[in-house]
Amino acid sequence: MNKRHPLDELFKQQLGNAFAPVADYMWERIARVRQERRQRRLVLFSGLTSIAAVGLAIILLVQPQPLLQHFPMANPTEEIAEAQPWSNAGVTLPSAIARPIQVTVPKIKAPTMASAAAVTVAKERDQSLNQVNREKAASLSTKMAVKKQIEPAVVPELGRIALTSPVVVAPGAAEPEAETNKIAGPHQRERNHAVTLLPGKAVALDNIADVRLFASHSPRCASFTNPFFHFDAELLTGPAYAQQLLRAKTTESSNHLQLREKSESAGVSYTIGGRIAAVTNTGLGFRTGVQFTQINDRFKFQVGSRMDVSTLFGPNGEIVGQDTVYTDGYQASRTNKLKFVEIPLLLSYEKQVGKVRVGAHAGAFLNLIFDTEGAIFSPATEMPIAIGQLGDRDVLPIFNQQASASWYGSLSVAYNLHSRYSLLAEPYFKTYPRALSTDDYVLQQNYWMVGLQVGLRMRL
Amino acid sequence: MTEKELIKGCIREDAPCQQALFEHYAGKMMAVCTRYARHRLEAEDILQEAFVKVFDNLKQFEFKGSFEGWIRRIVVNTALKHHQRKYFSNEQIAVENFPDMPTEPMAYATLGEKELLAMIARLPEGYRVVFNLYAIEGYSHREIADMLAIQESTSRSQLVKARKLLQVQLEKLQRVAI
Repeated sequence: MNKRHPLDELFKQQLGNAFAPVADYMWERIARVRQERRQRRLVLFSGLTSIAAVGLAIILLVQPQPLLQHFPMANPTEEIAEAQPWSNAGVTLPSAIARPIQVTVPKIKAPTMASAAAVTVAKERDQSLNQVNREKAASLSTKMAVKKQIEPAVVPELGRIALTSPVVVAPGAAEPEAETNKIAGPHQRERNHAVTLLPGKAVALDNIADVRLFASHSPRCASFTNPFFHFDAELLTGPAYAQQLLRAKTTESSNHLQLREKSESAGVSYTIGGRIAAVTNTGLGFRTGVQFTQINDRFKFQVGSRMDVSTLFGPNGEIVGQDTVYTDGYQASRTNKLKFVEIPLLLSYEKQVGKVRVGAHAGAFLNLIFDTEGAIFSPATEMPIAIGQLGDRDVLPIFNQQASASWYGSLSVAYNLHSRYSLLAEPYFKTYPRALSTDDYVLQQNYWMVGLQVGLRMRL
Repeated sequence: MTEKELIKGCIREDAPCQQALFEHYAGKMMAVCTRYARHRLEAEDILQEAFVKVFDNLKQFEFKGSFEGWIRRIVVNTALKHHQRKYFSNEQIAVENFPDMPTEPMAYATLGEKELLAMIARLPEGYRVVFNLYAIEGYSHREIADMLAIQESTSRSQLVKARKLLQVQLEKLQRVAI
């Protein structure tokens, strides 16, 4: 049973597979639009890829190498040389230790101690070192006795040394053989070598202040930061207030200006983006990245009431009644959106104040993509009309295809959460000095905006 | 060249294949666009946007089902999107660019595509979209409600009102013909 309405059937039969003539230029239009979109995508892709590649290259190129002097024991030659004062303290270094660089250094740095020869050499070195330790400990005990008489307060600090240095903790006593003969990993070996020599420095010093300095010394970790500048990555987003500036180009357009000023108001705009910053140790820096900005304006208009009356006729042409469709008038609004994808090019100055890093930034934003949608009162009919950009069809093209560059100034405050991460707040001011509107449009339309961006800064 | 070869040629971005495909389906799809648009210029915009989407997304066609149906769905969706976006176009153009109601007497049965299209074009925006989707494309009220983000009952009432207005127009024509 066919439940379809006869009217539906009629239209379905007649129009379901209908043909309509197509203008000759349609294929050219489609091909051109596709070509333009491909080009636009290519430009966007190239821009983003270039930024990513440059960012990656910078990160990889400036990846700093650890500096040897940052390790507790970087150059055994120097340490052995520094150990020479032992001879002044009555300690004679065995010949094996007097020239350790030929034997010990390569083994210490070697990642594995697999070969039997290496093990033998290491044992010999350890035994020699233990012998030295014992002698040093004996000397230390003598020195300690003297120091105790001079400054009893030093004892607790020397006690702390003893915790980290088995040589010092038991003056005169030998280190257990089992431990000294054990083949340690490269890291342990370095440490063992270091602690063996470090007390010597302290004991050799007669100045109590120097002893105290030594006692409170903790080995520094290797620093991997670039000594000249560092890189930060920043993710920022936040609300903004954007004020449109309208100027009439002719006296005739002043009515249209008033109509627009009365019907349009600023909405809540926003930005979101990411930046990479290169900051020198002096605090000067350069920032770039990608930022999306959307400016929102409210357009309010009155939709008038409407009554459609249709006369209904009977089969013989007589009037059988009237059908009335009534639409109430109401206040309607629409959001006009201006969307920008921009590349910031900013110069910065930053200063660390405790846990907070404050900065000032200024520069330009280059426009990559500009898109608009919305409606205004038509200058001709004073009725709502869709607006767009040059080249758009079926709209009033009041905006250029590309937006001009904008100027940007901001202050930033970054609160350090962690050694690498900071919370960031950045109030800013931005202005578009050149008109976004076309030359043909009767008004000149510019914008300025203020906003607050908040986000995260990460030290790279 | 078969339809499958033509599609594969389009996927390879072969320009002659793309033009051939466009010319094959453009007439039918232009008729669909005309039913949803208020005037010819808008119909051309919808057709352009729809075919750009067709060529961009041709790789997603899995050669299952009717290719014409696949294109038609894209055209209808584009038309609906266009309808929501271009809310403020000048309504006067719609009247100017569509043929006027026939002035010479004609019988009910002899109503052609042009006249029926003109009758649809005279429907208010919402009525026209719902009538097109339900009566000609064959979508259910539930599907229409989802597509237009309206209540199912709204879709039903819009359809009833659209039929009513079309009925009036048809009867006027009949009366003139008699």
